[in-house]
Amino acid sequence: MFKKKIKNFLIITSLAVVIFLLSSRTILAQAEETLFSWSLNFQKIIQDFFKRFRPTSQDIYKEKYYELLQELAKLKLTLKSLKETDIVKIQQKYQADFQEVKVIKKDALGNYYLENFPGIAEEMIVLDKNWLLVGRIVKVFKNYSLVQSLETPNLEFNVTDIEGNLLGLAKTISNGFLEVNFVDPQMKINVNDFVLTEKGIFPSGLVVGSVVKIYRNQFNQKIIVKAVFDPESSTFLVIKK
Amino acid sequence: MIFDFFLILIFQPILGSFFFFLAPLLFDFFKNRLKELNFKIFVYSFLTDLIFLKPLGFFLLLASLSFLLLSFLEKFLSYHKFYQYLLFLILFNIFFLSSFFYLASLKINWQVFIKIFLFNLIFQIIYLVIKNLLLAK
Repeated sequence: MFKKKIKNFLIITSLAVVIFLLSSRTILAQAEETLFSWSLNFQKIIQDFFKRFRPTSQDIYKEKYYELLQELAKLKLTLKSLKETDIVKIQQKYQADFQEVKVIKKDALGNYYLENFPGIAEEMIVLDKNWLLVGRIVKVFKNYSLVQSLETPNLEFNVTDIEGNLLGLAKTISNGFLEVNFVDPQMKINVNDFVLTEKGIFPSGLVVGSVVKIYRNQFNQKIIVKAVFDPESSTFLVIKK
Repeated sequence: MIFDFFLILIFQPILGSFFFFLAPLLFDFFKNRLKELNFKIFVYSFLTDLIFLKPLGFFLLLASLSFLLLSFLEKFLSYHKFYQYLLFLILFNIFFLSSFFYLASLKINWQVFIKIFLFNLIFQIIYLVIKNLLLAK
């Protein structure tokens, strides 16, 4: 049986190599993309069916809103003062230039698949309904687009605090957490402080998340940030550049 | 087999951290049912390719290489006791997942790796135990 199994799997492995190499050829790759489009539509039907049994997005928003209010209370910020922050300015800045797009699927690594719209392009920025940063479009296919989100590991970009002081290079870990290493030890950072993007792969001033943990030593600080966008949202906003 | 199809078609799209197609294949591997295994490895891995949007043959390659590794292991270790099954499953999952992560993102993120590894290992143990119990009756 040992030899039979080895022989069997050697044959299958060589067949798999041939199929895998052939599937990257242009004609087959195009046919594959059509199949993927069908698959995404099928998966959307399944996901929509199971979403009926989950709490609605409104309930989740209520819960998140309540949590945010608690955080704001800790920060001694009123809703009025929040309206005066950069978040509102960013909404005004991009108001006329965004497109609402349906989410088709989210994969295990935190990538999102979005429906295409005319003019969609790579490097476009994706936000959730509350204008919180989700990620950016990394690949546009014929029928759908791939978004690298803040839940995808190893995405790196610069971040600032709410006053615009550069904190350092943030790196996504997984499950919506980011770490910022080598932050200046003199900078005063508190838990629940908002973290914003600095100009780079993202425009400056977009809300990334809030600080959940700070590790301090005499030479530097390391902060852990939790992304605040809604990962279960059925629609996202894409900023057209 | 209908149950396996149900698992892959219905639950695979919503639970992306699991690789449902591996458990039935492992069951056939341990039972030495090569014909069934050969049929299922092609059908299930192509279905999983379509669900994970990977090039056709991607999961077939990973699964067949991992099973090849298990077949080599049979030379040195049998599987009659639970700890032997467990060792086979652990090695299989480590090889399968590390090659999956490396080919899918060219980097292995250990936090996600450990999470998916544990999910799959637990699911496979439950699947194998339940199926063995059902077939024993």
